[in-house]
Amino acid sequence: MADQKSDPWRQGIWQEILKAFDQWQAQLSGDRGGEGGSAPPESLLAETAQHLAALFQAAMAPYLKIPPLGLGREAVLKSTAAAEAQQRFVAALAVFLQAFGRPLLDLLRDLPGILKDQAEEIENADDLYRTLSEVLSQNYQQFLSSPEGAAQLAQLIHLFLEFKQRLDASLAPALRFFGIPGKAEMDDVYSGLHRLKKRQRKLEGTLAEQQTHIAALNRQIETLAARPARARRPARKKPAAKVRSHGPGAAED
Amino acid sequence: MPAARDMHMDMHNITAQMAAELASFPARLRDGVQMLAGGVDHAVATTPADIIYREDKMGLLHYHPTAVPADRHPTPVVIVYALINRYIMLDLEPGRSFVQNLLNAGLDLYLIDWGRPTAADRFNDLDDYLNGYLDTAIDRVRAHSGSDRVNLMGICMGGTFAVIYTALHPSKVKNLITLATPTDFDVPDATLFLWAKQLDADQIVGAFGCLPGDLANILYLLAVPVDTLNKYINFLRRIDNRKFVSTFLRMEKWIFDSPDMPAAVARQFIGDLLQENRLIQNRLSVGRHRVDLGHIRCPLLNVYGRTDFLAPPAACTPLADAVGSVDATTLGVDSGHVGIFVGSMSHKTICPRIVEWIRQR
Repeated sequence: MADQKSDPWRQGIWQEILKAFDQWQAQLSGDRGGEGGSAPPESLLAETAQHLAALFQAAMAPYLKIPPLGLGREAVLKSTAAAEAQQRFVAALAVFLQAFGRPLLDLLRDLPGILKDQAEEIENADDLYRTLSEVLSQNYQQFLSSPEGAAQLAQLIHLFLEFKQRLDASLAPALRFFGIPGKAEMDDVYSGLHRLKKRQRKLEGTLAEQQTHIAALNRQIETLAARPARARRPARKKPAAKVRSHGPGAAED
Repeated sequence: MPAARDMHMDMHNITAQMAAELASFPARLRDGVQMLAGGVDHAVATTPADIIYREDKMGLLHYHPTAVPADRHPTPVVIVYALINRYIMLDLEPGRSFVQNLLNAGLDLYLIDWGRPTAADRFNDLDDYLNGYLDTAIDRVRAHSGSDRVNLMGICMGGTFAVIYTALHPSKVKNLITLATPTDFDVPDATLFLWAKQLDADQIVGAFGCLPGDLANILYLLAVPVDTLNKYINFLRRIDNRKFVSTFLRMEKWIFDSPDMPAAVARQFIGDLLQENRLIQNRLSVGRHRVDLGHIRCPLLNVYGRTDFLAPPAACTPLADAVGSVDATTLGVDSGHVGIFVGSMSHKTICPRIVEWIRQR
């Protein structure tokens, strides 16, 4: 449980939010409480993202740990789990956005050098824009295809999906209460439908094979029927020769 | 290095150009908005076709032939498109239609429209799509056209499907044509493949039931953030150009018209192909059958774009060596993913070469 001094609800959550914006504004205008000079943009983004993530943690986490009681215990537990997952997602989003801004900040940092190096190729505004776009594209490509960039994105997606799954789970008791089928019930229906379709397809395949076979037999019958009667007369049967069987599978008349 | 005076002049020009651009922008924006409000033609997939077979969400289209009977090629072509986007990109607008180009060249064209799967289709797996829907559709084409075998043309993920299908049902395919088709997923510099290797496919489909088309779109856009931004900046710069806007809107319709992918097939595609790269190693199983690319012995034409970031060249080119075909052609073209199907290069170079290749076989 948060102590009174660190409890943002006691201090006033809006005060905290306004404080974050004040800091942001101060950094943008270059006033850092007498330190002088504007903060590097990277630091500005990082501080804002971290401040917001910490704010969420401090404001919500202690209260989500309160054990639920009574009849609605399951529903409360699931809602709490969803809220916790949402916090984790928001924190990861802040970290990802901070990292996602870095290629742009790298471009701004390198801008004077780029303009100096490529001065001969830049004749008009279109050239300038194209050059900067290409550099920025490369910066992003480097970040997004790096193991760190890919891992950060995967983590963000993982936490978003976890939040969604928990949110869905928190809705399930309410749906059940109103008699509305939820995901689990619909999955039963869909998997049953899928099994039936598979069976139907198999039966249709068998049916098609049978029809082909019947058509072939009909053709044989037609061929036989078309022969002259004498040709169709069965030959006199010779006495069948005895076949000695020497084991399983041997043919016997 | 230019003299300081030149640098100063360049910067002056640049600033003046930017100022002029900004000054003219409000008027262009106003004209563009008025034009958009008045209606801009952005209809797609308008080439006449009949739906000759339908099963669940899938539809089998047969395009009305445009060539005179004497010029028509006897073996039908069946186009298999990706599940994650719709086939409308192949028939974007009159004059920029891959489908019309093939029809005008005398090909008898069929196309599989996978439709828009919903949660009810979430248990459909590769076996259902390939040995079920696709196989039935190809049998229907054979019966409809009177041809015992078809020319199978797969595009992007549909190409991967076509490759697997041909390995499983080689007797029904006369020629295999794969366009922008990845088959080897362990390649460097493929951002989307790299991301896919880190995703938990079970979690994605568990959370959504299907792989949402919008989630896939977000990842595509995120992979090229600068290109995405530039696309809309360019749109704003040319918003008063009716022809440009018309094509832009059509392309937007295609890009963001992404059906959801059923859970089971998404899980297999991400897990077995993207993450474990089983197809090219002949370790993929579909239904009860192992997919052996060596069973593909028909002629193969494998077309890839040299600047394609969705299906990078390194992911497409190994196919020719993996199949058992003696007649295997790999054709690299100077385009990206979409440029193979849309644009002047597609119209003037790529389509004629595909048609010529088919007609020679």
